[in-house]
Amino acid sequence: MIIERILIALLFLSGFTAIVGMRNIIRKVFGLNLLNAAVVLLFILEGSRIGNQAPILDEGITTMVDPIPQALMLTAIVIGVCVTALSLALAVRLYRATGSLDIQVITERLQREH
Amino acid sequence: MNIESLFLAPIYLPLLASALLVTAKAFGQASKVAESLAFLIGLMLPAVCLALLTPAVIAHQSVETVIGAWETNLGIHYHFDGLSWLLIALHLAVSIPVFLYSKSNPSNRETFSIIFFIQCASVAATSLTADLFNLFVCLEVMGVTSYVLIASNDEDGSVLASFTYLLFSATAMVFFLIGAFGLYRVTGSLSYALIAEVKNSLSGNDLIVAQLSLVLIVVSTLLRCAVVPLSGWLVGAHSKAPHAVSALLSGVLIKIPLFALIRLLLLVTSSERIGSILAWAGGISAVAGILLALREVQAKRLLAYSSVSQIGYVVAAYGLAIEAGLESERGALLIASSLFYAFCHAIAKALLFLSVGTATDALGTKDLRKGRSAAAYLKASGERVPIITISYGIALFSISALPPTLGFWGKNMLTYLAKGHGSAYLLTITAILTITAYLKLSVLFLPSKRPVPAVKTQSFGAIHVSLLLLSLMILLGGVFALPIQHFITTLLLPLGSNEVYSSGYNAYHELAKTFVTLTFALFLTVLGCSTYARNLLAKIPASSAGFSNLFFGYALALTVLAFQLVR
Repeated sequence: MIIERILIALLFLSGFTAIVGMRNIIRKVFGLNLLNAAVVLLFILEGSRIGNQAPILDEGITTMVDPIPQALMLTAIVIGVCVTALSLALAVRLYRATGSLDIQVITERLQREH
Repeated sequence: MNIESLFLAPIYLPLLASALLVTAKAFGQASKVAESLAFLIGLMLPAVCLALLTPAVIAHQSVETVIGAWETNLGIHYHFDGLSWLLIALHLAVSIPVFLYSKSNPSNRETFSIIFFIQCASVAATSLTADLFNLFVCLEVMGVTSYVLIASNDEDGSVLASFTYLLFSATAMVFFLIGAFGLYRVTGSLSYALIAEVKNSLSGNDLIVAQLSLVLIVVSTLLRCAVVPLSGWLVGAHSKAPHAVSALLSGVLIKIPLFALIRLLLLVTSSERIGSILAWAGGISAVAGILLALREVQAKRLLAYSSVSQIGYVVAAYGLAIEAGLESERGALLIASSLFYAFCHAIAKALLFLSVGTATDALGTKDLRKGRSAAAYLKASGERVPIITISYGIALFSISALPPTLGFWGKNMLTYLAKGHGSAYLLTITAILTITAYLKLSVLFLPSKRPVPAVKTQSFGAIHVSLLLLSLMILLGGVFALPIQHFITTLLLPLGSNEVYSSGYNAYHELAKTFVTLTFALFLTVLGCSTYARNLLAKIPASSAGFSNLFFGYALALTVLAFQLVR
């Protein structure tokens, strides 16, 4: 499981770098999605420590995954989608108002208006 | 009255009101009738339910329930007690006047109401939940509705403020999830009670994982409360939002997560270490916030910085209470005074945002260097009785802790109880600087000789009703402060203490102290007009809401708390 964990950590770090380091606001939103994906994968990986079959009680199913992390992550994914949609909508409004997607340019142009 | 059948009503009813408005909008019937009906269902009925529940919470009844009748280790736990009652009451006390006020602003009206009611439901759910993952969901719903409400202003700056807040807060919530993951991994559960049961028997590596997870959760939740160093997002978000939204966010929404967190903190070991850090963070927030407010020249930004400062009071008392332990007399009194102060600040700050917001709209400028004689401008735009000016005065008295207002009792009682800890000195300094900062804001209402140009007239009916409601709360609260304090202490009894303690404190015995504070503040105000003081103030660096700064503050808070807990 150690390789999976390293890969998840890399995914997480790349998302975080995008949010803090990138100036393009669309890329920041992508970064947020990567972060979310990393955490979802972490939960799913953890849930599969005790088994790897789908958690549907049926004949022949003996070692199933822990269903709670899966249920939680469904919720987390839904929330992630909402936040992404909203942030993209805000990005569109910012672009319409300032004609740029660069956070520094946006900040400067909005400050100049006041 | 049956408590089980009523306590979930503050969650369901606002959602119902919101659904009603969506349906009305879909059928093109978004009329005033639908709006009034939603107001009745979403705000007035929960208030009635709360009133019916009062005898039960006074008798210390509480309900612990699992939603959907799942097994205890699978379902979502909800817990209703005096604390939830008080938090929902705090929200209703501000949201009812705010909703009335928002009727005066017809732009984006339908969307505003729909989102507003969803937010009401999320606040109630946050104060009731006893499940870690559900807390995450509630905080996210509260967050998403806030982002939308902030951006609902026509100004473009509000979109940037909302976007910054969204990215910062959403990232922090990912860390919250990692914390929840850590706790689930070592304890195998997500409900507070089950986590606490297992956590107290942990040792070695598992204990460290659990403590670090707890740190992630606490810091991510505190971010919503805008405690220094996690407060960078607040000023933009709260000053750019529409006035009604600023009032609600600054007054109530920054306090709910703090008190929701208390259920988790009380259950775990070594929470007193978190408490001592919080006490200092509160004191520092108070001073830093007010210093930044002093150098501000824009009315709503000054109010927003002052919110950072005032939440410092609440957090300082909260931290000291947790440090002392809620079963002790000092702890029980401190937590009650922390919640009491949350009420004082919520009502006063809502009133300030609404009155100053209306005044700056009439003036056409938010700049404190340009705006003068707001009362005359308001009169020119059709206000017959100067209620806005009067209610600004009442709010000013309350936030400056001058008698006979609610804030006079709240602030004096809190500093009295906090005595003996270093942050109490910081709070005393803040009390002086607060008066100075608000005197600076009051120049908006100073009369000037400049002629008042013709301004657009508007109707003030709804605005007046809402401001009068809030002013009345401040004045009546000032008269009945001691019974209210006793009531809050009684309601918070199930948190740990065995008896209802009474501080025996009477703020009127310390009028001399108030007088000294006021004298110092006036002296500082006169001093502040000198060029030297202006240059000195200008040297205070402006806090910037850049992403690297925000995350630096986040990392700092994480490091300090982690060091404190794991050492």
